[in-house]
Amino acid sequence: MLYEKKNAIAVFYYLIAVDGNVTDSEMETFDCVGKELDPDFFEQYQSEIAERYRNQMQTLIDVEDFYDVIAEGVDRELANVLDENTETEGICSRLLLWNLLVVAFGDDTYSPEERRLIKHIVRSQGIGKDIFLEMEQLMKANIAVTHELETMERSEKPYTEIRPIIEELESRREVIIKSATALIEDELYVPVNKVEIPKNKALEDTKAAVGKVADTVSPIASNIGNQTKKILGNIRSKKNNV
Amino acid sequence: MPLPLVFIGIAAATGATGIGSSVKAGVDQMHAKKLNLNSEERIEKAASRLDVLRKQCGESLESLGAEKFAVLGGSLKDFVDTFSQLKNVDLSDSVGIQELEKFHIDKQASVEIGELGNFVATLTTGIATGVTGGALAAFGAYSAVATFATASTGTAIGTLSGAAATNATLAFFGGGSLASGGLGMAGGTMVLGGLVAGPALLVMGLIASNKAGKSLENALASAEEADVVCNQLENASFQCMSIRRRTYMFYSLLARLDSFLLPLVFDMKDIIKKEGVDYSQYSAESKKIVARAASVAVTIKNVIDTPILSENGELVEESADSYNKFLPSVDKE
Repeated sequence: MLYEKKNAIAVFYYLIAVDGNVTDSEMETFDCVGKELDPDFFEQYQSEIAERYRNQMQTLIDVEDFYDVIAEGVDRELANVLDENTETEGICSRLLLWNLLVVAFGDDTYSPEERRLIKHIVRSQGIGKDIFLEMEQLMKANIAVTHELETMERSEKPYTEIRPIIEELESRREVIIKSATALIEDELYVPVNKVEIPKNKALEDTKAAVGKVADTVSPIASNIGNQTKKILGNIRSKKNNV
Repeated sequence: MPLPLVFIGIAAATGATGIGSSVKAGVDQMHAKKLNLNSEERIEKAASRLDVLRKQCGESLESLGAEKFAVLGGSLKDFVDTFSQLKNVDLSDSVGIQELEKFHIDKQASVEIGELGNFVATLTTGIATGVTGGALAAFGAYSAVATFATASTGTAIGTLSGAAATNATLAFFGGGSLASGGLGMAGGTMVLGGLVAGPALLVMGLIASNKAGKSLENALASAEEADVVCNQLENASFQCMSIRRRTYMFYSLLARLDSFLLPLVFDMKDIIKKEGVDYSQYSAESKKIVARAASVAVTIKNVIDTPILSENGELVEESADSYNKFLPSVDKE
């Protein structure tokens, strides 16, 4: 699946709102992800996304519907999928999923509502359960390593003691990101399709028709040829006789 | 003047048959060319995909190997060094020990920690000797116990790289590209269940014959062969992808476990500074920290011991069960 960047980024907006609590760090992560995914245009439509969200919230009948209204808004955003054969710009489903996790973990709390909405997207967009669980674990590892790194950087221990640990943790983060990237890239691989040789019906029909004509004409022509030879032979013999 | 018309008719009919045949021959040749080109493209793309995945697979195994060394030589060694200073240790009397069941700590914990000490000691000798990428990959792929069992019989750990290099699977993961004949490193041995070497040879032959092939019949036959080759290449790609994914899952599991252990070891060191080395005199909270560190350490050892690949390079399915067994405990942390 390939989505328009604007639609995908709008989904992130719904996600940060789903637990009913939008924190500054979540908004910061949302801005970062938006700018990274669509650096040229994100700022132009950022307010439009907020407006679309507000309009969707107008459909809320009572507070019990909150999650459903969010999920319906998300479904509407993801309803327009791009043609993967013709479009080169867009966000594939695994990249969408990874960034959903980035946004969900943006404030260090992965709420049950956030997880519920992501699972809804995974199911409705046909993303494999295994891919979701794997990416979720990678993100958890990424967060754990990041926290460990922050703790080390704040540590009062001698720099010479913690430097190798910091280097190791930075390298771990790189490996985790590399692993997530490979998982996203797997989706983008498209094998070359086998070409089917079309049966050229017109050519085959013409050939068959011509064959029939030739079969019909050839005996007649042969007969006419024989007759002609005969006539010409008779004319010649009559001339000789004269 | 009817006769000339009859002759023209005959000539036209005969000529049309000839044109029909030559047009068809031309179209056939065009189709043959298109089909051969397509077969070539299909194989090349599938082969280059396999090459990418093969490299990714090798990188993932090497990363896991390096991670295991880093954890063993880092936080785990630190834990063993710190834990070994303690006296009168009885983990079963730790308050809240039930919570630690999720980390598989039981009556055997002390025995396992003892083994852990030997394990780490053997390893640190290896680290001092130095290891190569091949050995790291081997360490990532296979059971650490098997690897170090060999090392502990007296074989210098440095020779592990040589042993690893002779392994067909590792040669495959570390070899050159398909096009440059990198598979030659595998020496035609069984690689990833024999799925790769055979098709690779076919790939070369097929591409060469396709270029020369002109008849549609040959092109169709080659396309069918290409179907088989592409299918085999894709199967091998799938295996590489599965190994890479499983390896990175273990990598991230280990990274998370290590992120729990390291602060606990630092806490243990602080406890020793404040409360000394007599465990029996520790506060309930301190006992809990020590027990928790011990249980995480034992879990790390179990994760490290889990083999991902069998000796013939196949993914060990049971490793998924082991992973799933460890995961809930880590998620609850």
